[in-house]
Amino acid sequence: MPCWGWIMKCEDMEKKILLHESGELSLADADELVRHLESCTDCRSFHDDTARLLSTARKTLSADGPSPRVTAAIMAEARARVTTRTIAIPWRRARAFAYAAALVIAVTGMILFHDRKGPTDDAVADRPSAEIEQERISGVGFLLAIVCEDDVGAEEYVYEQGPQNLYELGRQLMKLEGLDTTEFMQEDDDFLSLPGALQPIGLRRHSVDEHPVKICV
Amino acid sequence: MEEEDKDLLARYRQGDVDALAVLVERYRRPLFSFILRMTEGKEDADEIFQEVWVRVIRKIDSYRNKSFISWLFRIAHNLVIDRARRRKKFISLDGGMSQSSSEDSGIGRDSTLSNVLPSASPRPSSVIEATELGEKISRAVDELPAEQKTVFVMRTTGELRFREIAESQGLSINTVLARMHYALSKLRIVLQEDYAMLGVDHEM
Ligand SMILES: [Zn+2]
Repeated sequence: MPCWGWIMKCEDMEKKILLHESGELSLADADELVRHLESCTDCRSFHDDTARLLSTARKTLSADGPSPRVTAAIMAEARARVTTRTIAIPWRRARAFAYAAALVIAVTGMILFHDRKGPTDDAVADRPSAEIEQERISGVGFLLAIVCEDDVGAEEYVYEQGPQNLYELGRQLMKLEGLDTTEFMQEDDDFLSLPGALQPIGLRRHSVDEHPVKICV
Repeated sequence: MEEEDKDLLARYRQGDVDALAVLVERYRRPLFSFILRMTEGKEDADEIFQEVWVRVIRKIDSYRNKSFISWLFRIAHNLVIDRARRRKKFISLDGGMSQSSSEDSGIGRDSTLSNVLPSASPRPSSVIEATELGEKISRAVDELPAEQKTVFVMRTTGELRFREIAESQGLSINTVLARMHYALSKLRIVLQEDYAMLGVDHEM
């Protein structure tokens, strides 16, 4: 009858069996594993079943590859990119420039819209402030979405650049728009949260998929 | 010795298209097998495979020093989820009765991995799958909870190490190992009777 200590050791060994199979186990741990397998039938059967199951699953689940036209299209894209890079402005800088330009235009537009004295001002004054606030909020969400291109882009952006840059940009834009940023905080490394009102259009945790950030407009 | 991913990427950055071709070829089968298993069919898998590489090509300048395979599979996985989410949204707009999707624009509780990813459907993808045991394994894998299936398929078809899966999914290695462990436990139960046959070479 195994005692608790033995069962815990077996749980630990099952992890080590997986790591051994993937070639990620240190030599010392591998030695310990081999010694344990010699004396523990449960772990030995887990080891043997796992090895057979994985080997059969690999054969079962692996497919040949995409259609040849797909690979051809990828290589065409790869060549086009190299050509543009050598004869034009580097793409990354061009994109950064485009973002900057879009931001400047959009922010200027917003500032002009809110500050200008004139006929439109009365129209603005007549509208309920909640509606105007909502418009400003949408503006911020829209600009953040431009920066990230789309949902997948947002996730990649945060993965590559860290959430800090996106967070900071969001905060600055909210400030520019005169929105309250006290509730806009970064709770941990990959968790951005916006006040309740921004939730539908802002950043939020995509909880179940464990993708850190979601942008939707 | 095989040239490393990061060296090939560096060569492509300097304009050597052949270096990228080596990478595409290196990951052709593992990446495509992963996508095909996680999505609805060959046509979808073709499109997603292409989109993954287009994104790699476009973002190559901002890619920094993380494991390339983790990055590659992360993009693929995001695109798979994104497509499933859109499809679900489209289906519910197209006359579906889903209540939550109308108020939730398809992102949130309604689009958890388990809800958006395609459910089990027989999709023969290789010779062995045509055999009875192959079909059984294939079905059992499709019936795993989505996050366990993701780890299992990345490990088997993609040949990612656990450390690479963890990096790709933004999880701790212990979480990844636990998911793999749950997946194996379930598959072991489903395939109990067939264990005698497992490991025998079924290829023709
Ligand atoms: Zn044991």
